[in-house]
Amino acid sequence: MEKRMEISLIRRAQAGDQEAFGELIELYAGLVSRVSQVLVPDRFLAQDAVQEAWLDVWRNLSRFRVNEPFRPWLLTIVANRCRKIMRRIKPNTVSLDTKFVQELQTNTDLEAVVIEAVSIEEVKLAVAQLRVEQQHVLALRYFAELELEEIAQLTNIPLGTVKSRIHRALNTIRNELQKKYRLESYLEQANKE
Amino acid sequence: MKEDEVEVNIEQSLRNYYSSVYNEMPSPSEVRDQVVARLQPRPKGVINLLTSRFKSLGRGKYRLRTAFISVCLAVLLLSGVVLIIPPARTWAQDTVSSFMNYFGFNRSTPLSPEGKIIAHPTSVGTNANNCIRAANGDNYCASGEEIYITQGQAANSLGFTVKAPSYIPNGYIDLKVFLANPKEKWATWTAESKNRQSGCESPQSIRLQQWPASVQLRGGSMPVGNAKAQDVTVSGVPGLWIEKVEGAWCKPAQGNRVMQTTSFLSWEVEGIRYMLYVDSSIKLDEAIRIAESL
Repeated sequence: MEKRMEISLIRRAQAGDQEAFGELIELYAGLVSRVSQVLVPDRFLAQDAVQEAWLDVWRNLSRFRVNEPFRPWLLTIVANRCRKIMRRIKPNTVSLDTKFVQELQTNTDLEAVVIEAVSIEEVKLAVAQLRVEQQHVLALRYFAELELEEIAQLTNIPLGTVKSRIHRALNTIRNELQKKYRLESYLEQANKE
Repeated sequence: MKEDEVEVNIEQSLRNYYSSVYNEMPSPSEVRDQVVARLQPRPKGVINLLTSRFKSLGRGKYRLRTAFISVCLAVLLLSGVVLIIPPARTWAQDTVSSFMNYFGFNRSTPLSPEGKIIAHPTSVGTNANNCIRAANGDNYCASGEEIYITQGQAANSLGFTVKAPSYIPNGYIDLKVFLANPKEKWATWTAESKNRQSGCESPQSIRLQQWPASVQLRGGSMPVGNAKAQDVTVSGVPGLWIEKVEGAWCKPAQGNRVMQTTSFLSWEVEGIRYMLYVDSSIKLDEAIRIAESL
């Protein structure tokens, strides 16, 4: 039913119906926003990327074949738009996690951050141990909620590489968290004694 | 926090983490409003296709590439149509030939009796300049050094006056064209049988080849096997008649295959050697009558 509705919206939008296109935007706005945020670290540029990507979709919609899946086509357009933006600004950008680690290292009021959100900060630190490409793939998987095949398509890397990167990244995080757990257990034990 | 919980909660922890990192994006309805406000009305159908393809032609390498590919595809499509449909092919060959003529790129062009150069509908790749429409309505094409010329053109091209018999037996039609080789200095006049069967053209024609006797033709000797040879007189000069020389088997479109046999009459007058090739159904007296009508 949803698929039929989507096709109907696409057909109407292809015929120039802006109302239908608006509904299509609402349907996929979350996905496009999440992917853009992962691919374009700067929040404001990511917002621009979202709008520009949707305008690209509008311009190219007449070439889209309705009998093919819309989501991969849309994701390709979003990724292309994000790449264009990143090419423009690349020299000045820093990955979000790297930025966070720098902030954490220079932050004098560390305790406030830790008290505010302990488990999230632990994950943050663990994620910061990952290589940039691993962080990238993880964000696409667990934030943008993309399928593995979609990540491969978006990042232009083989599916097997996507799987192995995610697997290694999860292992690294698991090890980091386990190390921390063991340290806490040890400290608790030591305190009791 | 237990160790196995760490294992179980990683994925959810990551989701929580990313949700806390990425935030403050506009809501779907806000995105919708922002985008829709910036939409341009899109023209429909063919107009859309044309405007979207060619509006910005030349602004980027991809658009140029698209235009280039489109042109190539169109040319390929047109070539396919021209190759597949014989009338289209004839038309294309005529057009190219006329175009070349207009700009003076033609070599000395033999004209048909009607004065029109035409392309042979079944001779793809043959130079259209060497094609001619003969008096029987068929198109003839020559290749290499050989050309089709009219009797009037032959004197200029070959340096001697070529002759055609004024008598031909019933059932044959004078093509009124000569196949000639200006380099080797020979020309061949031909009359075709009106009932010519496809696949067995050779024995159903009368041909008269002529060349200066001082010129040694390539492949001048001819195996005659057991054919009968006879000394004869043609217009008061000695000649040689060779009867029913076996050639090759041929398979007419209808009927059984038959052995091609040809008879020859050879003589020389005023330094020009003549060789008359006739269908072996034509007897000696008929052949001499043809020869003496030059």
